[in-house]
Amino acid sequence: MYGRRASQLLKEIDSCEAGQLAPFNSDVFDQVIRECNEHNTQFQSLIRKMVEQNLDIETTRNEDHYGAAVHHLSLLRNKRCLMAYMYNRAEVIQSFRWKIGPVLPHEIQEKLHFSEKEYFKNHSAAMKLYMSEMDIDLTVDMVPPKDPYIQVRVLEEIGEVSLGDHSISLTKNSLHFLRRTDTEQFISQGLMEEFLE
Amino acid sequence: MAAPSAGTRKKLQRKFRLRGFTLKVDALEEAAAFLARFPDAEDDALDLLLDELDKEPLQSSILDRDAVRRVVALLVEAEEAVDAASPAATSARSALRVVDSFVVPRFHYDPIKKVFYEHTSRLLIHGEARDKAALYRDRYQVLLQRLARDKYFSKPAFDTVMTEDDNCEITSIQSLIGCTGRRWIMGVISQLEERQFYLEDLTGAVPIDLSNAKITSGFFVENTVIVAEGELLSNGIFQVNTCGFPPLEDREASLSTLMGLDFFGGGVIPTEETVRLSTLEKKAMNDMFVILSDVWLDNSETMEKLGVVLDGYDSVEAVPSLFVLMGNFCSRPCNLAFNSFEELRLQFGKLGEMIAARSRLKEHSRFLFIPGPDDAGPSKALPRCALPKYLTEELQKHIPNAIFVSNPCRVKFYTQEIVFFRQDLLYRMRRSSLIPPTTEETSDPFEHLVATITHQSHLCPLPLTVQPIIWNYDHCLRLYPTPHTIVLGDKSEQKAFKYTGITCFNPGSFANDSTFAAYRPCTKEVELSALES
Repeated sequence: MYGRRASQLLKEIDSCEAGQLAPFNSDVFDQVIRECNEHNTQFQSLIRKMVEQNLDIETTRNEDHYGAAVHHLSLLRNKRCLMAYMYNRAEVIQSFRWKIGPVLPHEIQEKLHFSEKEYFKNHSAAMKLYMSEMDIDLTVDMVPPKDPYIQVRVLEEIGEVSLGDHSISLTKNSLHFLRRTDTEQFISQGLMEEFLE
Repeated sequence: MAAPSAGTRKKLQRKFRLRGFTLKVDALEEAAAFLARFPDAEDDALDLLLDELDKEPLQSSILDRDAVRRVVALLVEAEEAVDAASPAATSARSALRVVDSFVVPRFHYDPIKKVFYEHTSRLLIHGEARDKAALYRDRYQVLLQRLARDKYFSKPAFDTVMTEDDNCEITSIQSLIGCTGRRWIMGVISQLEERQFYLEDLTGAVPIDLSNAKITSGFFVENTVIVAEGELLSNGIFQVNTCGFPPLEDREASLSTLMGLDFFGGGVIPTEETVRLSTLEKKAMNDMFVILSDVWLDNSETMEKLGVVLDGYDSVEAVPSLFVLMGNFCSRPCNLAFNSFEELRLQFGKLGEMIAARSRLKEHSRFLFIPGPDDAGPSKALPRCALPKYLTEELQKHIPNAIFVSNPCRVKFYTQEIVFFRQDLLYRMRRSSLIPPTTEETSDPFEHLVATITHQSHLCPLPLTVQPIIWNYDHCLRLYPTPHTIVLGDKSEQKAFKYTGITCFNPGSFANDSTFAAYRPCTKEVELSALES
């Protein structure tokens, strides 16, 4: 059935949890592109056949016309599916920049296609440019916190990091009382968690 | 290192935060020390540092000292280069990148996901048994995945459209049994039993009969991969009607499927950069490479001739940007009976003096040395490492920027990929050829050789018993995606041949025939030259 492979791609996106990515399915993606090319050649040959028979392409309604129409519609549908696949992935990739930061962990890098990595880099660069021009950090939490300080537990060894006007040694499982803005980045990367008594 | 002031610390932290980075204490000190070099332009320096950091492949957004130090070192180096030399010289340096065989990244093919992935663990020189199997498997898979994209051999896009007559889909050898009629198989030619050739693929082996086969041009050597069309006879032998090498794929087509993978070595270039570089490449009209093979340093006649060549290029207006000197650097083979290494060392020193005496060449040209098959080195197995330091020290005193690389080696000129290989390939290929090559398209052996290595995507498709190859470094000899230019240093007659857009040439033996070649990368033109005797 025409267009089945393309819908497979979208099903894959759909079966992912929101905000998560499956590895880029370049195999099926390439197959769909090959299908598109095949549709295009079939379509062209049908139209050529009609032209050779001196039929008016706009008005004739013979089997060639309907064949061409099926190929045309399948082609459009395939194209739409491919676009939707790319678009949905791009959305998720953009959200990574906001949630995780400018450097993606290795596990995510592996799942991206080369062009998606470029996209992430460029998106990240554009944001940086804007933020440094405006001199404002847009990635902080939009809701102002009730308490500017937060108690956190370090989940993974980080080492000595300078925060604010002092440096602090973040060893595994240690508890700290820090400014909320400083910790946000670590929490979103899963290196710290809020400590609730 | 003095502790940075509170003001600088604050500023650094703020700027890095905006970019989403957190600094470790030692990284902060490193960055502050960098800023302290530029007391009047701190902000600019900081912006530069941050921009460079973005280009680095970082592991985590928490920066440690090493990451910052790497970038600082890069910046400092760039700054010094600008101070020391004219900008033209620095751009010329970035134009030419020489890649040693032993640093070329290795890729494996995953036939399920249909993608290449990089081999990350360390490669041993003395591999294990499974590495030898991997050598054959990797070679086969590279060709198979290329073939699977070819329009004649690929699966039709729709399962319903069955066109029996012109579909040449490859059948695996295992599933050949029970099939009747004409089939296409692809496999490597091997001699599992004496005097009986087999075609082997990943699933099995089948004895073949090549006696009536129609072949395409090229040398059909044991260990080459061929695509054969024929029929399995009732006695279990596959009767080959036609056979040939797997078809070539356009360089662009291979590159589009390998986007972001650095097969050649020398780094991935982003698309915008490629466009910029290729315009620069077209403008580099004056660049020229001079390639000499068989430069016998112990032979006074050769050295005299070399002097004439160097004088000649020293006096032209635009001196060549690169001299490639290929081995052998000694008229006698450096085997166990060879004991005049010290003499050879002095002769390298003499060569250095000779080059240093031509001041324009010394200043504007670079010199690349590739060992030959009989030069001093650990073994004859390919790829060969660069010449030992002991021999080259004397020369390096005179010409500090001389480059000593492995055989084969790769050079990237802007976007153009050039492979240099010094081996007496033609003689050995002809010798181990199983079937006399067809004279239909050409009867020139060099053209057959070029067809063989490009279609095989491998520089040396000879049996390992004829030419040993370090199993784990077989990928350095691959020619996939096909480079723009292949230089095959050979002692046979000099030749140039353009095959489907790939420029191949053999500069000839300088010591024997006083022949050499000049290559202009911007137009991909080869000038075969010779000294009059």
